[in-house]
Amino acid sequence: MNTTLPPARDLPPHRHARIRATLVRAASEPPPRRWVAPALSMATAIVALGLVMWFVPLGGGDGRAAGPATTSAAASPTADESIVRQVRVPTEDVPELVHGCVDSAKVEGTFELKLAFADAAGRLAVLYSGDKLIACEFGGPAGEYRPAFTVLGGFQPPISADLNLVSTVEGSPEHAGYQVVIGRVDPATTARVTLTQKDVTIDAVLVGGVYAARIVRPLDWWLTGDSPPPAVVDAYNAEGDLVGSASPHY
Amino acid sequence: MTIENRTDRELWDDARGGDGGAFGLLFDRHGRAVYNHCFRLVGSWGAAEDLTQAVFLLAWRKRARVRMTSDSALPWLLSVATNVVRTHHRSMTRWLRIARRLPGEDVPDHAEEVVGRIDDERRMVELLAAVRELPRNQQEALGLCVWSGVSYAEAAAVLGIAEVSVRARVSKARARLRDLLTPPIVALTTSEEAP
Repeated sequence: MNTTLPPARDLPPHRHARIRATLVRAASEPPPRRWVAPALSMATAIVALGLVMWFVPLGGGDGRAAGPATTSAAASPTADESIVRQVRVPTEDVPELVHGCVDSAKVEGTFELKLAFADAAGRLAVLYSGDKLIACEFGGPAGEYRPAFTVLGGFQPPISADLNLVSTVEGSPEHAGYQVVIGRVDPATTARVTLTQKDVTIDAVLVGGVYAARIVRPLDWWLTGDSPPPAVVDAYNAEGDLVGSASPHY
Repeated sequence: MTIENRTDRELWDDARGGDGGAFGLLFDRHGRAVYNHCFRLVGSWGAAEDLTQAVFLLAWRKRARVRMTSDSALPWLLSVATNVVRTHHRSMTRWLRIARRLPGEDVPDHAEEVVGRIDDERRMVELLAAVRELPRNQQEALGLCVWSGVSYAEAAAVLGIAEVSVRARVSKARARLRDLLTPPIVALTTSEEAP
């Protein structure tokens, strides 16, 4: 065995520049609101543990108010930053998108594009193979595909309820942190899904019974603050009655 | 005095006052050392990139509680790096795997560089397998003093122990590693040659 220590190396120049820009920005910003976690450990615990959660069905309505107004104003993120828009990928571009995402996630299987959306943090596609789910960032400046996360099991059982939730948090150190929720609902009973975290509520993109939403946070959100407020996903029927609610367990 | 001539302590004070450029300069000075220190603790250049940023962000988060007592911030930054890697190693493993950027997404790496880094990682993983046999305090001392070149006195200061204790830990770590890394003597006899 070669026991000599590998030589010291420089950070890749583009990465050095990015980290530096991030640090300069962090150091120049006013102190962030203290709303999140005992930091990284909690954020990563959410990633590790908050993979597949199931909605607690509430029956046909429990007296809770109808769906909240979309996006209340808050210090961070702003309302505009939290708007999630569906992206309609042209049919001819779907094979390339699927291939790029599957290849970048380094998983095997036949995946189907379920939906794609765009927000302040970029574009995210949701693919499903029957036993794996990939959330994939795509369409960046270099046209790259990048796995945000991959979940084995994805939408798989138990799914006796109308709704389910696949949730994760990504503390991307490059630009911003964000809370992502992805799940499946019964389209016969659910017309709207919202994601609420602390003072922000946004509408999820809902396509063919699959929903996804993301709340963008400040770049160092996962290193600052106290406890992360729980994310709550609510499902509403066409009349605006709450039909299901779920929150990650961690 | 230009900003480049300022000591780490002066830059740190400026950064605490909201001067982002000063913090950027601290990163320019010590980012490489932190990056290599992280690599030697995890054996992955990609993970080391993310950890390097995490170390500096964590250092920034601690700014209100930290006052530099020496002119160099490096020993303290390496100590922060050690703690970041240690504390979050298990959860970071998963987090980094899913969060890591694809290599060379903006600037393609040169093939030779990529091959070299892969070779580094293979060697480092082998070394780390042996290093992880050591008690944690010996790993820490080895990483700081032998691999990252921090003096015994500086290491003692950031670890909060006596300098003689640092020397002892390094000495024990070296001796133990010698045993662990020495290839066993293999009898090179065939069945015919054997008695």
